[in-house]
Amino acid sequence: MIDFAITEEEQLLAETASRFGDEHLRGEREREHEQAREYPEALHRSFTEMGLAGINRADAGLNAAQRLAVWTALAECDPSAPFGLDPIGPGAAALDTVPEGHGILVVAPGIRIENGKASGTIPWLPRSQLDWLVLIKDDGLFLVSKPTCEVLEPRPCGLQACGGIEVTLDGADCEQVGDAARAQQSLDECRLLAGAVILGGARDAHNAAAKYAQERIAFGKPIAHHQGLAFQLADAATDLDAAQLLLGASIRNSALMANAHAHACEVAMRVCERSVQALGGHGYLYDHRVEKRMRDVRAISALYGGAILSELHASLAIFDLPDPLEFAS
Amino acid sequence: MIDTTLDPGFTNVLMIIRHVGETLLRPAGLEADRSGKPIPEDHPMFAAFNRTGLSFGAVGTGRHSDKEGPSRVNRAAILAAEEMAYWCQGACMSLPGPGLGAPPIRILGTDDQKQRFLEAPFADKDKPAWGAYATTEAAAGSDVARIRTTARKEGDHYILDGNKMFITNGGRAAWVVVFATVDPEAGRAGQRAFVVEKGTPGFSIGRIEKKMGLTASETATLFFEDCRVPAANILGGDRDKSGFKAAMSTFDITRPMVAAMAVGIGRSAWDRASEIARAAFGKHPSSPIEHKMLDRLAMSRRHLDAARMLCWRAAWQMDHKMTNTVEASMAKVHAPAAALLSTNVAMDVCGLAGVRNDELVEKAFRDVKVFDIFEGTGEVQRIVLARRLFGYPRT
Repeated sequence: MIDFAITEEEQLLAETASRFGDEHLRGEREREHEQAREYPEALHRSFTEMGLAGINRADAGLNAAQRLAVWTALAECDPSAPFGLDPIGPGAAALDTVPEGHGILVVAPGIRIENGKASGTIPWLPRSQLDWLVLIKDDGLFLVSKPTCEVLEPRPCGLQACGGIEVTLDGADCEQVGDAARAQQSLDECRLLAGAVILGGARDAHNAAAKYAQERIAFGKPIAHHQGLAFQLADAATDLDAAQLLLGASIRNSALMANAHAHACEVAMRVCERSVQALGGHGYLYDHRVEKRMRDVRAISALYGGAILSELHASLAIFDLPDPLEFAS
Repeated sequence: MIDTTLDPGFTNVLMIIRHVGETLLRPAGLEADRSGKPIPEDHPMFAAFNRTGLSFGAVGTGRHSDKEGPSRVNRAAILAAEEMAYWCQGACMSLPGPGLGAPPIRILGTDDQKQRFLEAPFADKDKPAWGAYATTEAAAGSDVARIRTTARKEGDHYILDGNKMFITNGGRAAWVVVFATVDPEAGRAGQRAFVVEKGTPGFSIGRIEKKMGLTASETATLFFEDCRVPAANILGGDRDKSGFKAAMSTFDITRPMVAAMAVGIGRSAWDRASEIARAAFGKHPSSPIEHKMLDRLAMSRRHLDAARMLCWRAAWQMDHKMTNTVEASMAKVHAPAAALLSTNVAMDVCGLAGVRNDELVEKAFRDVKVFDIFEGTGEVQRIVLARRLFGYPRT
């Protein structure tokens, strides 16, 4: 039956993540982490001690809705944090065994696999170290252990606190660790949590813009009381709620997932851009977090094939066309 | 009939700008962006640019006689603005010259002021010099009438108190045109424009802002504390009350220019993405994802092309001495959005590589957002349009 209630567990998990974020991620610390291009070791330990690390593993005992709640809450404090502090990232629930160390699941069209060897380049991943990666391909999941990584000197436009690496595979050994169904499951999970993070980041940008708009006076009244901006802010709030509901609904309806991810990318980018706009010139400066939200959301939207691939998969799913994963290869 | 062909005079100038953009602007702009700091004042690019004989900020300055028929100055300026922005708008804004300070001096200044501020400081081509324009304050952006920097007369000087924000080249400028109010109760009618020279007692430079993009360009906060400015530096003299009007009247010229710059940035991202797409797909795109990317590129291209037409029309109107307030605002509304769309699509096409800041589209994405903010936000343009087109009331 239709039910929008949030469970007590989801609520508790979200509150825990928010508390962690408020204490360790928000404010000047967010810029410090971005500048350093890493989170301090002590923060990684706190994250783990709070039970927030590795929640995407199947054996962590959390369901997708609970993971969604945690990542959304973290992203509202700092969209880089879920990717930068979690050693695995989304999609690992589909793996029977999660390798040790830092890893990531990726959609990498530039990597070819032939006879158990992987070759090609992944131009950017939000990681500072990588012990393994799992390639999400149309015919399954493929594990590459100890990939060759190079720390990126140029800064990525967003998620800078996660570091940034380029991965080059030159005939690297890869082992199939899941079939096509598992690959689809992984991709769904990646899209779910990437969607959660970009919507969480956008929600926070919107909140900052709405607060600013109620304080900033222009033409004799708060700018939020000017109809043009008031309508934009109302639209943003509505769009965010709709996108978050669609994303939540897609947990139980895999056919919705690609569309929900594409929609989240579109809405989050628009909301962030409008939030910068609401702050005017101030929004373009490092002084205000909306500036960073816009860059972070843009970077996350490029992960897992980005919105274009999700749109394509959505149309294939809606019209019941075959092999939705074919184009991720 | 609408004609969009460019005559050889224009195309020659564009070829020169293309060369300057490729060899000077883009390399210096990328270097600054990666270092996270504006191009330093002593960068050899500035002297090299001066030697080309081109100038930036010389909007509407070309000599023209009515006997020659309609002016071409604004159309030339708009084409140049787009082309220069294509190569790097941040570097372009950092170029020596009077910049946005020129129009108010030209409109309001006496002959003596024009000589002192527009000619003398820039005479030595080997010694780059800058001018700047300061209206915006921390609490007064779009609402220009709300500025709080005051000017009170003491003998043959004015005493300025207040601060200005988001001032392009403010930290390095030989002079800054500063809008201040001689009567805060009078609103717009109380505003005057002063030229404050570097080194004037009480004039100091605050921090250089860190911004999302346009890193190559210096953006400064300026402070005026008991700053004694000679009365000879008030534009138009003591009795000219057209300070606010001057600030507003420059917008009909500058807004289409700013819009054209946005088109230039959008076009640079589009070109880079289409180059990548062509290399990846060849002449025969095969898979649905390839077709989808091409569709996106075509869609963003048409928005850019339409934006360019709005810019060109507004410039053509200026050249024909036609009122173009509505058309200038239309260009300014449409172009930044089209350009942002173009950079966004370009990043999508580039995939994960598009996120890296050694990829041009990433920089374009960060650079372009501010074009919907400065020179009158998109919201302000819509108010201008609504007032002029269907009587939207003043608040």
